[in-house]
Amino acid sequence: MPSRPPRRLWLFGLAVWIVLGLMSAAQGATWRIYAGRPVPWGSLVPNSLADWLTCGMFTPAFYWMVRRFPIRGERWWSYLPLHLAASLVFVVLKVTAYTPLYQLLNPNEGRTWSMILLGGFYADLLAYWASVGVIHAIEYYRESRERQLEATQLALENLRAQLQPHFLFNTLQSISTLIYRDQRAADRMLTQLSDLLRLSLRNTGVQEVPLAEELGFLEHYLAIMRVRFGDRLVIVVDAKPDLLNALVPSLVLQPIVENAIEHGMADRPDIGHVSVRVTKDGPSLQLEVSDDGPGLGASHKDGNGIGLANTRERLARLYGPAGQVETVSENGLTVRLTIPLRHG
Amino acid sequence: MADIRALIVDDEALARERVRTLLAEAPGVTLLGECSGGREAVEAIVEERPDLVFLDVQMPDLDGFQVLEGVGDYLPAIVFVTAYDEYALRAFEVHALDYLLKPIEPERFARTLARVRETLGDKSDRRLEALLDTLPLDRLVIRTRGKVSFLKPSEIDWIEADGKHAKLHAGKETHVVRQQLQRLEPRLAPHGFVRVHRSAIVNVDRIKELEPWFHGEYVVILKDGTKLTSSAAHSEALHRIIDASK
Repeated sequence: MPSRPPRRLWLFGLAVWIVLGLMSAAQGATWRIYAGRPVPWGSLVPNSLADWLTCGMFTPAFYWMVRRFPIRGERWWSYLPLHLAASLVFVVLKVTAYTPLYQLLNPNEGRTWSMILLGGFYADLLAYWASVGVIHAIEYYRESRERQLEATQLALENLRAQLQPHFLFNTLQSISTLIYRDQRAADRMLTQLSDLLRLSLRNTGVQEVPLAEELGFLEHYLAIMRVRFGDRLVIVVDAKPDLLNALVPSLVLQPIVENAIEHGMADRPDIGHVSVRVTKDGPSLQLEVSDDGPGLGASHKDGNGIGLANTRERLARLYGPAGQVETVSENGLTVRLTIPLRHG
Repeated sequence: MADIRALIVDDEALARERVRTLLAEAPGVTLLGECSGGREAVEAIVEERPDLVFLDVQMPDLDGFQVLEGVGDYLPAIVFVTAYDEYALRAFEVHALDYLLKPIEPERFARTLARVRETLGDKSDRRLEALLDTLPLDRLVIRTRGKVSFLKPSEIDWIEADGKHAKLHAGKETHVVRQQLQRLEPRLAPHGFVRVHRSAIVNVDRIKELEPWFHGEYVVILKDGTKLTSSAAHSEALHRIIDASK
């Protein structure tokens, strides 16, 4: 459901009803001109406007009905009887409001409530359904625009998550060191970084990629981290070949591995171990990233929390309740992502 | 003039190497050593007393600021080195501290070193202390017999002034940190500590009862039985806090 409609939408609605009223008056005038009869502009226009604007008065109610009881989704028919009842109620209320107006504008015609009701019944009924239809269209449009905006924002956030400025500048520092000592190594690292940047830019907007592609991306990242941390970091990646074409959210692993590296190296001067394991579990795919750091209890910088909140939100958006993020704090920290297993 | 004795602290070998190569081209600087982590750095600074430390801000075990907390009252000249940390950069700007950005630019390195040379040994330089005083104190860094550990403010019962140092009482243990009580007090106040005496601050959570004494003074009885006498000058603040927590 999109946010509340802005005020200019109400003004727009009012304008639409006025235009409809004027068009209806023009219609009456055309008919009279064609029949060679005089056009009573003085009564035709006010009458027509009064008729249409009493309908227009109900626009907020129509809007409320659409927001509260939308005709859409799998059970789109479930609110139809309700709208049918509402349309009948609307016609009665509208005629009740319109009758005194009509009698005021046309004191000599002597039309009663029931005459007006019968005379305009189907037109008024149609006005209800047409309004509800148009409001559905407007709401749908607004919703899709808002969703598009959200998707763009999410893509940007993803990108930012990949390219932690901290990672970027530390890598550049390593390259600038290597230039003096080992130009080939510096060159290699620069290429890795370029590939990483290229892949993360290309993948914005794509929600899912085959596991092989995701691991390929991760490998560029790991290659850089191995150069930076040398012997102090041992990383193992393990995935069965038959899972390589399974679909996973794009760029989902790297931020978690980055956390694991930071976390796994925390509070220790010796070697940190990080492992990435992808396994099948019935109808699900499990992606596990483990480190042998101090676990959650001793974690002081909860940078972990931020990264996982994003991941959690993303999996929920993509897979609903089938997308899960769990953490196990035992001999270090394990982050386990569970998603439905689908092959691309 | 004697050589400047410098220490390099960074968790990444390549980053240390970069500073080392740049230092090798600078005359009048002797490299004392290199540390690959914060804990190691605390040790090295206390033991070796370098004149100048190139200190990486983000390290996995202890960050640069925590290293300085752990070092306590001996503060060498510090050049912070950071890849990217908006918070830290703002702090360096505010306190006019020297810092280098990764990747390090040789010209900037030379300029920074020249400036350090000018201010080195300047006793009135309190810029670092001013920075530390503004940092939130979520953990105290404690050094006992060559081991660096942490103490959360909530684990501390009360703190006693001990000359230039402060003695932290936490359960059965006491730790001495090389910081003056006056500097700890404002940073611990947000954690519910209150001054009861010229030379003691107390964790309000640990107070069992207050026994009225003479002239508006109190005897503060802690849950572990410790008795402290509040001085009249501090009784009012104490009273306010007790009232607020009722």
